[in-house]
Amino acid sequence: MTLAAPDPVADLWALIAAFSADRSPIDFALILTHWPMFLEGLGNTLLLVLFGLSFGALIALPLAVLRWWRIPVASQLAGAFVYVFRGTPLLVQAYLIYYGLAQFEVVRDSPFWIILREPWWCCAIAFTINSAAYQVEIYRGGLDAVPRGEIEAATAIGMTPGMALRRLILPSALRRCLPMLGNESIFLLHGSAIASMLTVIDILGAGRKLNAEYYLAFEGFLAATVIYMALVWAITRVLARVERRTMRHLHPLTR
Amino acid sequence: MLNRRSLFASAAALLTLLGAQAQAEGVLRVAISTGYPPFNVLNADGTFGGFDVDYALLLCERMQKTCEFTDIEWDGIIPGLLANRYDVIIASMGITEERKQQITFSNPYYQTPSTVIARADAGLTADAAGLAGRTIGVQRATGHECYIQREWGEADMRSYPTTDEAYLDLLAGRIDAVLVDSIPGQDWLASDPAHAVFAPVGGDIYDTECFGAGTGVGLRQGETELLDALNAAIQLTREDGSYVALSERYFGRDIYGQ
Amino acid sequence: MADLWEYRWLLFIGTGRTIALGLCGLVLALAIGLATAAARIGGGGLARRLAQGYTTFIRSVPDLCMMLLLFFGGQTLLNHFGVWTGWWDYLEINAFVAGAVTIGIIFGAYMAESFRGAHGSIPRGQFEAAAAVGMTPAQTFRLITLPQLLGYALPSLGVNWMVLLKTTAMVSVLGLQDLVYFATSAGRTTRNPFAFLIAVMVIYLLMTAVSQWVLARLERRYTRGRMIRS
Repeated sequence: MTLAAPDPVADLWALIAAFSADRSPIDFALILTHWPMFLEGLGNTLLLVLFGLSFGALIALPLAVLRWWRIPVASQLAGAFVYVFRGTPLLVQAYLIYYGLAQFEVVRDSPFWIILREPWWCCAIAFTINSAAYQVEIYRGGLDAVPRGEIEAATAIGMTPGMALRRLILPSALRRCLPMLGNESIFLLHGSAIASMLTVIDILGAGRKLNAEYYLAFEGFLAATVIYMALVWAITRVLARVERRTMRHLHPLTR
Repeated sequence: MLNRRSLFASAAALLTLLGAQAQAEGVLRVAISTGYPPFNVLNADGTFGGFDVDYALLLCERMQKTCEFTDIEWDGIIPGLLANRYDVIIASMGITEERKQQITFSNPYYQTPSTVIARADAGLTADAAGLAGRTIGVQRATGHECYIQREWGEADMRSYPTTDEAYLDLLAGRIDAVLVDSIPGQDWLASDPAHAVFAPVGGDIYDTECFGAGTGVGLRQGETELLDALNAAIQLTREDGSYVALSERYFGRDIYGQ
Repeated sequence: MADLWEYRWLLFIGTGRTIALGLCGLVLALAIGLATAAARIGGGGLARRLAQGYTTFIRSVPDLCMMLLLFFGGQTLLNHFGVWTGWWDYLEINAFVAGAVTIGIIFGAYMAESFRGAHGSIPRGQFEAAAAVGMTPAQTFRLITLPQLLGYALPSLGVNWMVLLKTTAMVSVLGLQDLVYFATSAGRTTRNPFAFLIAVMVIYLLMTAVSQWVLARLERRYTRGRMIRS
């Protein structure tokens, strides 16, 4: 005599389905059956945020140095860039890049059109520019916080300004920026939800699609909310760990 | 010390005062979704216009009610109705079986087929083979989404909040074609000389499953009194000639069908 | 430019509505934030935990997602609640109120953190002194904490206000006819989204600039006492 192998997954599933059908006002089974869509959304959100953060950093670092060195004109231009993109909603910036630029034939005939014609890339560009504007101020704050003594020490041992910047000041400043960069990554994740407004299926986009397909009021949004919460929780954990590691030398050695 | 109960009471009163109004007698709250010319549009002076809006006004007049319009994103229009944000949807909504599971419909007030619009010189054919690998734009949560998923599974479908946005991307060349109702499609083609390079491809498409049996007024299930009143009002507009006059004004013909 | 001129009144009305929405949201957020901060600092175990759960929840969900969830889910919940208690068949919450309340709920969490931070900046000795002269906790809060809290919290509240102001742009998805709603509608209709979106950017920049000016003045006023003493 053999007993059927217990299948906890199937049991759990049956429980959820029965609960959804009988008692709950929310159809959990429907949400769970659409997990591939939410997974695609999660992937798009993560990719877009990572893209925006890293390319934003590439733009922001030189601009921050220009601002820190107070190079005339260039510093003011960088300041204007920061002011404009921090002072306006990301949603409007993304609309401007997606719908606004596309109305000009010059843009459509240019080689950039291969990128600009894709909604995903338009989001990526908007996130990059927006995040760059915020990161400039973060890095500048980090540079300002580098103690004068460290810079003087670098000059004293004969480093050129460029060398001192690369080898000493930037690493020191970047470490100081880490907590702020962590915040920025969570803010950009929050901002990334507007990708769903540009036809991209991100986490929120998957939720909206589910709602639209089944004429649901909010179940899709609820699912998206849960995913975002889990994501932010995970990111916070990772950031805390990274921060502990890189700032180790600043903590007293009492552990 | 502030009494906690009185604090709650005043908060509730404030909420009521600010925005939570009870439904006034003699008011019909109508949901529309702008960005859908010539049926639902926002005019430059902030008023709403289009065939649906004007027809809603006709119906309200016949029902001796005042129309109160709410503009809402299309994919939130049925949830909004179910959540009692308004009483009816008069926004060119096709009477499909799928929607009937959620809401109920009046008798149809117009019937038109759908059509694919693409660049005339693109050599596109409106069938599964011709659209395979092509990008085709539709409005989100419409019968057009249903039709493409069922018939042209190989096509790359892109869903927009409104058809106007799909047109913008068609113009920009981001998408190869759009699937739209034929009247808005014709209206868009005629609205600007720059649109002359585009044309309907493959003729009219009829499909009861996806596009529905005509266009009706949507309302919550179980509201039989309102349903009867709406159907009577639609009948009246047919009999007194006001429907034909309105339809002629917009389209130069009667779009009621049958 | 001709398109912008044609729609100038809509842009004007939309701007007014955006500002009104931002200010209403700000008042609500400050009230919610103050209450939450009070619960976290001086509340009992349950109040403290609830307040902490609320701030954590809000700060981990994008504002757009939260807005849609509260607007559609909140309405459904409210309807169910009304039917369940028999208090109302339904309550109609218009888009403006829903938007302002949602913004209030979202930014209440951020304001709470600002107030909490500011509370931490008030020198401990003052509380000890208050206790020494026999003040009750309520008296300490009213006479010692509250008057100083605003001054210490102001820079951080200002930052939150700037973020809040930009968040108003998202309320257009709820169907509120604000600046972004009118601009995108007009942009679609005229097939000239660029001009309208640039106009929106300029208007937001103006609002930011005015806010900065007002905030700078406020800060100077509230920190005057501290600067003389130090």
